[in-house]
Amino acid sequence: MIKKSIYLFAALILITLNSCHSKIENFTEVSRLPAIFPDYTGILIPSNMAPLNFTVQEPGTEYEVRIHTGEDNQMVVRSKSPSIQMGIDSWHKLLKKGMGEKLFVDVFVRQNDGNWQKFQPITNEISKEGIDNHLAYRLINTAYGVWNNLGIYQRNLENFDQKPILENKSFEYGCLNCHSFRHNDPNSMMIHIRAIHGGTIIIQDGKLRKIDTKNKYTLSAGTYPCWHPDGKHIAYSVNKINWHFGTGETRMEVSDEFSDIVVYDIEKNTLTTSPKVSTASRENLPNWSPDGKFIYFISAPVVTNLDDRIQGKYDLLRIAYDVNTNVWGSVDTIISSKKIGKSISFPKISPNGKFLMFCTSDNGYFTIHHPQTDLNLLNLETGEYHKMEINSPQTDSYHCFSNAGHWFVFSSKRIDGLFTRPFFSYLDDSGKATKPFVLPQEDPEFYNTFLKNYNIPELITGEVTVSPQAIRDKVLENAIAAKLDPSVDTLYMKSHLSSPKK
Amino acid sequence: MKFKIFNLSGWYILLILLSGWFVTSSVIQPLLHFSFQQTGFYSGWEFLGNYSSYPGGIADYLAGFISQFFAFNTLGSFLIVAVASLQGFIALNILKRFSGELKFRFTAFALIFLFGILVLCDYRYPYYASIRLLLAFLFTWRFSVINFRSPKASLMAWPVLAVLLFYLASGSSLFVFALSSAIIAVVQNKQRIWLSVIPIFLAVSALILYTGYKFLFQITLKNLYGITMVKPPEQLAYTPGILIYAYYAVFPLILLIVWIYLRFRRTETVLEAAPAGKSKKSEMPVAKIRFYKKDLFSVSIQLIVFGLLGYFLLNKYHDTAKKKLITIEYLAENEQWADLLKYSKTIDKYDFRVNFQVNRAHAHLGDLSEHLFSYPQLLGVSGLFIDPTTMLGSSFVPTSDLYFDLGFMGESQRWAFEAETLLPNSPRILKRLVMINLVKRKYQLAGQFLKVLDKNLLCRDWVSKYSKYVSDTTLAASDQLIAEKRRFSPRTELYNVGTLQGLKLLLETNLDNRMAYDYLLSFFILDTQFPEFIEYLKYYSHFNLKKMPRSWEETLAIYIMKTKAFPSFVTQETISKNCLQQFTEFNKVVRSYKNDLPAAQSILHRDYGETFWYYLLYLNPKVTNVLKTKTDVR
Repeated sequence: MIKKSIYLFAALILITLNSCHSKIENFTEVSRLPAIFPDYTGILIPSNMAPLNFTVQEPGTEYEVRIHTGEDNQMVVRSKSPSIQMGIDSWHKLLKKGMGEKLFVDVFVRQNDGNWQKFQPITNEISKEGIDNHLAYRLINTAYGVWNNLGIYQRNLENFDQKPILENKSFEYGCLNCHSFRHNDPNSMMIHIRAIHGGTIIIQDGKLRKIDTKNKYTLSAGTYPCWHPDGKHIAYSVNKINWHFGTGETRMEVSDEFSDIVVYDIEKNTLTTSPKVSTASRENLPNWSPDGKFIYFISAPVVTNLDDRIQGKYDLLRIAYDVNTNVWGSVDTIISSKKIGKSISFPKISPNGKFLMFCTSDNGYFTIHHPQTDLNLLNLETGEYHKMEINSPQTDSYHCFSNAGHWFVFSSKRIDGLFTRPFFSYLDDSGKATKPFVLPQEDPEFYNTFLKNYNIPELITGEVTVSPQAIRDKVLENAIAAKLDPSVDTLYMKSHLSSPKK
Repeated sequence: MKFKIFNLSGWYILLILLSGWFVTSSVIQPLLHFSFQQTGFYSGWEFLGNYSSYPGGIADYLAGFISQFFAFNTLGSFLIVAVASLQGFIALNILKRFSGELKFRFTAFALIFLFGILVLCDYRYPYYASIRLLLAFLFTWRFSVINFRSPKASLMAWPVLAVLLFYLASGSSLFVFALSSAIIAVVQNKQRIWLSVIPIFLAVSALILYTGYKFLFQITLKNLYGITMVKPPEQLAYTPGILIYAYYAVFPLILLIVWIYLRFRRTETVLEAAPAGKSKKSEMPVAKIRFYKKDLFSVSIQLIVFGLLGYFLLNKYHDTAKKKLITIEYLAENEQWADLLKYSKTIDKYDFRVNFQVNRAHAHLGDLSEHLFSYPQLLGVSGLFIDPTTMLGSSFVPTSDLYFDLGFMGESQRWAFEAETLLPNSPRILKRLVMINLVKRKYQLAGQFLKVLDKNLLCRDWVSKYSKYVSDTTLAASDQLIAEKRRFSPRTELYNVGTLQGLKLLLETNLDNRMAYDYLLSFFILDTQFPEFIEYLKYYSHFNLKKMPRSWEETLAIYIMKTKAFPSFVTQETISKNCLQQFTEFNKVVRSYKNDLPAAQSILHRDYGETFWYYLLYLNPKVTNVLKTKTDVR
């Protein structure tokens, strides 16, 4: 027993000695920033973000990183490997204490000869404003024709926990897509299920329902969704979609032969539309204004041939719609594709109603496969728009504002040109965005070996609490068919759908 | 001389193990399992994490670890035999504990071992089913030990073992454990009350399974109670049959039989109890034992029956045709083209996959145009390129390989990603993606795929070679294969490029691409597009051919006959006299049958079966309409 105690004591001393490093006094200074991956330099950090673990891409035998806002607020990580992983609690204490201040990262690297090098400090800043604490996304492979394991997951942005919202292995490997939340609310959510057990799952305050949104007077089941702020309506596009495979950098193109817009009333279980948004042109990607009075959407001219369909450009339009009276206003063009020479897609309005962020690409709307896709910002008060400074030479696409409206997440392929990763940035009131940074991971090398894409990143203010098993049970039920709103002009819709163009 | 039955049994068991190993390594060949299922096992928590989220995942993970060694036929066979025999030995140990030295214990071992080997006759067999069952055996053994020492303690331990086993090995193993442990408990504890554990254990097992389904795991109920899981990809979809059901049922059944036997034997013992006062062994008169009751005879009979049963079942369930197809694919994967062509001759029945790989082998050996009709091209151009509209998962990798051969990196990558989605752990596909990205100078991406592959024990050397290409890109440029593909790969941005347009694009990119040229002309020939064939044939002089390949000559002969003129670029020397003479003879035969083609087929097949002319009249899918049903491509 005594012998065991001695061993234990000796081990404790060794551990203690090992963890108490003396401060590095002698070092040579290197007059440049250290190379690190991911790039967490010169960024604004949400005050509640998980530790920004990184790898020091400088050769050495030992590494020390001092992260601090001042002498009394710092943490030190020393590691034999270049992988720098920080303690979650220490990191959050540091962020909390240093909110609104600059955050310095001093990187020391020990050389083969035993001497230390110190690089120029990395300077970041801690925001006073936190970000919505969860991110929901779908993880998918890089294939187009087949799928296998699919899932929609939620990641706690304050740590590294990822939980499934729904995985397709629970319902015979059907397809699931287009998850959407009402104004970042985890309690109001919808998911489409395709192929097997098809339908749309709507979750509201723990209540689940499964709807079949296909109607004989609509082109298809609801496709691209957007919740009305009142939580009682969802606007959908209905699309006839085709895939085209490319030989060059755009490896796949998605185009619509036809598309319209419909609005689904959750309480009444009815679908409505209007000849104004169900025209021969291709209306698509509806998005409500924060006050719920307008639907912003994109529209491309009617298709005459395959080349037109692929190369066609979308304009940004809007239409007034009163959900209470079911009255449609007139259509306004906000930005014409002819004017800017680009195709517009994914219009999203900031919660304060000041900005509209949208994507531009050379053609079409399925921008994730277009390397030239960029994010743009339209000031709705002044009507001015500009290409955002956060863009990269690779795809920068699908975006989502946080509940408070300053932080936003977007999809980018900038790391390697192939895999889509979520990046965060802060948009100030003048419309200027900070340098984006990628979703931090516990293992900083994660993105170098993770072969799936983060699809449709959506910021949410908390965890989706409905269990995956409850959602699965609902998926396995039969869908309830949505009825057609009696005010819909069925004669028009019939002729619209049966016309040669449709 | 005193004869020890244990020794005899031991020798017989050794004989069985050696036979099992021989059959596994020479008939079943684990290497083909490895190749067909594209097994990939990776170190690291992330890979383990994928398996820890569902019941049975840990067993699947262990199975993945073991089955990666199937890449080595001898070692793989040894591991298969080791797992199957371990199950047998566990069963023997359990039986010995509660029934002593039973005469038919040899059969118990042999049956479990036999099914443990025979299930691998199906090349889609997921090896995790064996590991899950092994865990059920181990847990049953553990229960029997506890029950033997303390029946009450075993009742306390049972739920813990059941829940743990359910997580490690899923529902079917749990039921094997529940039934087996219940029988063991009944046999080892003679009170009648113990009979109630049978329904209780089964009911609790069902409850554990349902609770797991309803509240804990995202998995279908079927995949929780089924022996194997229903999941993509389609080409590896295993259909459970009699063998696997027998494999899972055999141990509980043996226990049941032993239980009944012991009850019968006990009754017999009571009836023939020895008189009092004659209990000492030495005083017992030595009874004469009949020959059929002798151990040597009984074990020998068991061995013979086992041998015959094994032979019968192996013949019945081992799919030789499937093995041949997998072998063809294996030879193609390893680019053993001459062996592939030789092996294809052992396959009597037409198969589109063989057709596809034979064409590819000829193309690699540079004689596709010469030997185009050495294999019956029943599907026409669909034998050159597997019809993508069928969207067969099994065709994704070969299609990606073919496009890589041709130098079409965009198409190769597209099919490689489709394949990677279905088989995300396949080292073969990841290697293909590395090569594509090296050709495309996407070094960072190549590096990413290499980092994943580096976690695979069997890919270390390959990774080591190509990692240098990422850090020193001049090495990639000086690599002959990569340099050639870079020269051949199209850079034009086009959408919906079909097979034919793709081949033309390859030649527009680089006319030196002989393989693309061979495929293009073969496409025209098989699709009987004569004007297009002639249009592209004029480039043949670019390749400095001394003699025009046979399929071109034969097609040209028909063109000349139809147009009654030589194309401007063709001289009388270009096409051999022998070919024209043969064509004349061919036509003579047809005319001699007064153009009755069915009547002439047999003689024409004998003399001209490997010619374009025969194809045109009898095999061309435009004549046979075989592609309308697409039954031959499924």
